[in-house]
Amino acid sequence: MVFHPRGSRLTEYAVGELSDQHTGRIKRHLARCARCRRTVSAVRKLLHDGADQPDAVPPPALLNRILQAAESGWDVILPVADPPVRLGSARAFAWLTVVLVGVASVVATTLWVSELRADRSELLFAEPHLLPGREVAVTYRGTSLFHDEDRLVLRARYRTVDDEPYNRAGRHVMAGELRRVGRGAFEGTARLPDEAVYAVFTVEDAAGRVVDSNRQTFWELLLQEGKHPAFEALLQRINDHSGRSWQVAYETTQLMTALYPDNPNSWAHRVAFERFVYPDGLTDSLQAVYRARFDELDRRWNPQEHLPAHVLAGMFSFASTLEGRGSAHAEKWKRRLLKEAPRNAVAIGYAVLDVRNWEDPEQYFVDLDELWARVGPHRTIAMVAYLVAVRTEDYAQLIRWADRFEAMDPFDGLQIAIRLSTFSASRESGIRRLRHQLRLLDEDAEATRPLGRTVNWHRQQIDARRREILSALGQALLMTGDQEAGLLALELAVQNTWNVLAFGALASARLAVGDTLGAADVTAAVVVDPTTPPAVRDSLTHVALDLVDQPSWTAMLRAARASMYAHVLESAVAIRVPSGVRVYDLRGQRRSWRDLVTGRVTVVGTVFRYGSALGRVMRVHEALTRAFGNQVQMIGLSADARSAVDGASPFQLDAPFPVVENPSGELREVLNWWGIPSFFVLDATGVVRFARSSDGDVLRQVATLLALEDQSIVADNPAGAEQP
Amino acid sequence: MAEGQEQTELVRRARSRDQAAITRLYGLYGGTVFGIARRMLGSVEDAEDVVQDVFLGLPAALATFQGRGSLEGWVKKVTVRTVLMQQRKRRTFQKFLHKNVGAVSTRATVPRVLDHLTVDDAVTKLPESWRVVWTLKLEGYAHHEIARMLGITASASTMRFHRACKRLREVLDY
Repeated sequence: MVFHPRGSRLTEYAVGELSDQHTGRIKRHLARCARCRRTVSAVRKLLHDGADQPDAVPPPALLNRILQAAESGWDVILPVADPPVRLGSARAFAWLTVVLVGVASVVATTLWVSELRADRSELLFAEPHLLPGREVAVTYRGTSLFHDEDRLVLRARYRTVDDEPYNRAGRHVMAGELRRVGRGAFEGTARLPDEAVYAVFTVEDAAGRVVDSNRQTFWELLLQEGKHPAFEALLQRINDHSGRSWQVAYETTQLMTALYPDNPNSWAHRVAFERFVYPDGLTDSLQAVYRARFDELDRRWNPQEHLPAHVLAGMFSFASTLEGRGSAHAEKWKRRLLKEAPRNAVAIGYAVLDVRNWEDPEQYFVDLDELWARVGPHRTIAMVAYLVAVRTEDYAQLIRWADRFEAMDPFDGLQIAIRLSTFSASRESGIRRLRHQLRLLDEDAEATRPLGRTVNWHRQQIDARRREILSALGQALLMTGDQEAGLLALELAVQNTWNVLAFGALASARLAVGDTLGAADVTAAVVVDPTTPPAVRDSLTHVALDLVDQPSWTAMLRAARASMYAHVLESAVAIRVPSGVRVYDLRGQRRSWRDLVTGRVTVVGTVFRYGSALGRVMRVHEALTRAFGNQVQMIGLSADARSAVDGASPFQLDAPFPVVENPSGELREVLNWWGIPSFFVLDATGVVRFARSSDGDVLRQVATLLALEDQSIVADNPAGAEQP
Repeated sequence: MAEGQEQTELVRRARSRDQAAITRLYGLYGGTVFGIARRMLGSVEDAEDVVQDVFLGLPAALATFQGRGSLEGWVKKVTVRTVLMQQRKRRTFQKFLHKNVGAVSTRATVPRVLDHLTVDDAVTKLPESWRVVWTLKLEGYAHHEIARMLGITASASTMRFHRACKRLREVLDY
């Protein structure tokens, strides 16, 4: 009988990893055993063929994706050393995701230099300021981001003198085409509409799939007046940065007062911004300067008759922000403004306030109608009348003013349609409007694509909007008794999304058509969602247990929970905050960021002295405490700047959670956060897992992190247990 | 420019995030990175994620490249480690979902209909732990090195490699 070596020995021999001691014996065996020789040569051939496989080719689009991500500041930390092989639960997260750190920076620049240089690309205009209606030569020196492209598109968002703050429905145009003229260089011309006073630009490929947005700071041009940017251009620069960067907006107000010290609006804007970012008392030393300036302007303008509307509005705004709305100066300029320039937007805002009359809503509408007729159609009047109609549930007025409101501001059309669809008296009108909104989604999507966003990003937003419309439409159709259409709309609305309201309506709809299992299934989603109040959760559980047995219900809850976690994790990020980040409590004591945010899941809520942000953070804190007790903690991050005067903290906040500030601004950069009220959810190791979350999302994200950390996950030995 | 100088210059430019340099590196090693990742992970989509991570992370990671060995060898090592990290991430997530939902179908290997099965195609059908050892062996690692990387014994590595070879021979009729 011939004894053959074990197969593994032969394999070791074939790859040259057998010890000398065994090699001799194997060699001797192979000399006389054809079968084992075949085994060895087969292993060698296999290895040879495996190594000889043609190089795999990654998809061509992948390089563009990588370059675009790199361009927008994404970074990945690679494991350049061998990772530890066994990880405890606390460290498991460290390996869960490759670290992506979004880095953004505002490029400081002298305002009237037209090109803002990015690290790796630049956009240069032959004329360094905006020339509306004229063609201007443009050069773009790009990077390999567009290495395959011969033609690029210069896209712009432009603003006119009448445009309002924020970029809800910007005016987007294709400003020009750029053709490749050399390695990495493109040239072309740009042209903006006659009425433009301010514009921001991006460069993108012809399909809109790759966008160079200069790291979301864009390139900008301002209309020039003499040697300086025009006042209107600066004002629109402030408006364009609303919701983007209050720092840039504030700096622009400072520039306004330097360039246009005789324009009261310059001072009104600057003082308003300082009121926003600094508390009472902190800018006291500046008040004397402002007051002297106001007195000087008041002496100059007060004796003059027939002042331009913008001067009247500016003097009123300056007096209001400096001395308060009820002050003698403010009242004096308000009277002149309302009398001499009743069509001015500021005047209309106050005229609307003056006719306020909750005691007699019918008279209120008569007065608003009269104002509408007297000063002409204006968004503020339409919006106030619409909201009054909602509040008083006057459906005839609601439909009438909704039309006017939507005509003034089509961007609000969807919210108007949803609102109307919820009231029985206006439901038909609401349904008609919702269907119109659905059709609008497919029309001219390009016009609504925000600057700096790709076509794919925008498509996802449109899909989400479509689901929102379908959800409202489905609920409205059910209310009209059209079960079949309502059910269909809701089924479409909940595909690939997590929408608790739609789930609730869908449960009722499925129940109505006898689909008890389907109803229970979707009810489970409502029950597991942490935003559902406990009483509602209990009553839904009772209802569900009438439909299915306990084991089925338990399985449905488990599946719903997993589905929620999966949806939540789709938006997960991994942003590591540098350990040296400097934060201070509001008494000015330095605190360790690491100590503050490790050990427990943490929600960081940004708090402002003004506006509704503080109230939101308080409400979310209460909801978190109610839902998760001390498993989660809240940290307030003050968004207010310290005083430029004495460096003091902007305010003392009596909050039931620690509030810190980061005057040096590292957190703003790491979190890519520029002042919008936001929440960030951190895991117990202090890594940011969810960024810029909404109130409802925060609860789901915390639930997901807690569930994930509760798994006591030990990332196995990477090779796992030996295969059987 | 001499090859060594060219490499040094390329590394320097890539470290400063020069996109042309990253594009050049992608041209040189993109296929290698993709190939290793695809073999180890058995999925084209997951391999693309690794390629993306590797090339986004290269500018920072190159700071640790001493220039002692070849750049290609260094990139391969980093790729292998990135894949191992990816696998841990995936396993942890699967475990988490499994506990909550029972059975979960995660991203599947791209189905293929083939007239002719290549070695690479057959490798994607291997159990993950065999596939990883097979790929590392093909990349020239000794069993004791693989063992250190994976946290297993050298004999476990030998055994997995042997089983991988055996299965491949059966499938490919070697």
